[in-house]
Amino acid sequence: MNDELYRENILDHYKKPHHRGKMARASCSGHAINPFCGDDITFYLKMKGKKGAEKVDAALFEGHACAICTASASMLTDEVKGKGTEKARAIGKERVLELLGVSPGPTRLKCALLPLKAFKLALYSHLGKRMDGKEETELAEASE
Amino acid sequence: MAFDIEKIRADFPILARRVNGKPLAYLDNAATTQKPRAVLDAMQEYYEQSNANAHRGGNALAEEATEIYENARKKVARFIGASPTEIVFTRNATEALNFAARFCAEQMGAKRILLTEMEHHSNIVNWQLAAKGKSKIEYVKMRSASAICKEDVVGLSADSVFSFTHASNVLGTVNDAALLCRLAQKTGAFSVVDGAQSVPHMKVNVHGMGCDFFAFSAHKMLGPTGVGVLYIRNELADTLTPMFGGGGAIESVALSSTSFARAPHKFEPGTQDVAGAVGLTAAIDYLENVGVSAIEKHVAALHGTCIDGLKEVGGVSVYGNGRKTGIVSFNVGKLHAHDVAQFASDDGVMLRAGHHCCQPLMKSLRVSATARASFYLYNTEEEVGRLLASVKRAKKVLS
Repeated sequence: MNDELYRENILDHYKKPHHRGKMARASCSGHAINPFCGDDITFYLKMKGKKGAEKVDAALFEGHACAICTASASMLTDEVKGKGTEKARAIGKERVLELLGVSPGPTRLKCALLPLKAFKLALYSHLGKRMDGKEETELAEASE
Repeated sequence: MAFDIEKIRADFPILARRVNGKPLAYLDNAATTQKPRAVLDAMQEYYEQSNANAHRGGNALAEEATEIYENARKKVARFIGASPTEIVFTRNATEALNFAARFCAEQMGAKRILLTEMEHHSNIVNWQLAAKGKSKIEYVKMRSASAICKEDVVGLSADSVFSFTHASNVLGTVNDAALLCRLAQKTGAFSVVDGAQSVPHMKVNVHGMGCDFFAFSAHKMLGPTGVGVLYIRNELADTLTPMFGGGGAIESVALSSTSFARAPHKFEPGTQDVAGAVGLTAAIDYLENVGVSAIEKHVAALHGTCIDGLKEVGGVSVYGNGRKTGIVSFNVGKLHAHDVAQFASDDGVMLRAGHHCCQPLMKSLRVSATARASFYLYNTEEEVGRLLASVKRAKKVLS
């Protein structure tokens, strides 16, 4: 039943998403598209602190997305706030599913991971780095 | 023959299964249809009794396989009002449309390619690839979710090709293909028609339509996956050089050159999917036995119930008019189509949600996705009722 996927916490974040909107002076942004359905999420980050010891000061997201994707994006904005770049980088698929509290099927997994991909793209564009192979494979589930 | 829904349903083994603990209500027929036992049996029987390499070898079994394959071609030809020599078997409608695009751009001098915003990606990407930046691609704009208006078809000339869908896989809307082909013909332009969504639902006559190419897939009309058809008008087929070469498509081969067989064989190199063609034959037999117009009537009734029911739910937008094709594309208020389809799926009701491989059309409709129910001969009023119940539940939980 839906009660498994559309749990209270997911519905709460879907109906009242945290940190939704466009960031005027973002340090960086990342945009990810789910080619399966055309959904798209843009993640904006404001970074603070000295180079080498930066932290995520604020995160916003916007885009077209379903309940699972919207909830995932909303939870992720909470999750990354205040984290240093290394800790933020370490957030992976497992953590996102833990936050959602569900294990969606293969189709909806793409919905759940799309915000993570947008977030990582934003962070890496700021760091001027590329994803490693393992991470790319994991996030490829969000877009293949 | 009377339209006996219970009897029809009993012919489709998959309809007996359950999904998520609920009886399967398969409402994704515009994506692919289920297969009746007659189709499965015919293919099995071919492999068990007649399998050999058609058009090869002088043995009795190969002759039998050849006859079966060519009879399939004849049946397909009769079904769409063509001559057997005009029927080329492909892997699917997409492959057929890719062939048509390349023939037009590479061999028929099509410098201008006119498409419509209603097209499936399979009738857009093929042209972009074939054009190679040398031919110009233009689009007939959509005014609304209605059929293509002839007034909007402009700019055709002798160096153009007009390619359009007979029926939209999103809107269900049916275009007046004969009228549109005549427009092309008048200017000397070629016409290519995507019939993937029309052939399963209505009587099609390609000669009456006057198209140069026509494409469709077996799997959307009770047949197997892996078989499609490209109709190429006879006079044209003779002038075209095959894009792929190999055995069976030749008259004679020397070390430096080849003389090709006549159409359609020159377009079918290599061992063909005879079992697939047999499956398509059985599918046509099945559809004709039930009656194409009886199916049309049944599907229109389900479509009507669905539209009325969605109106009652309230706040539902329906896109297009799929009365003839049994397609209902819709959105429920601000709910995302994915979520609606997920609720339905959990109730055992299979819908499609997303852009339906029609991103330009979605853009013109100003939506990112729609949910789509598509009906066929084995669907029931009860299944429509279950769909509506799922939609109501999604609305209640998510709003």
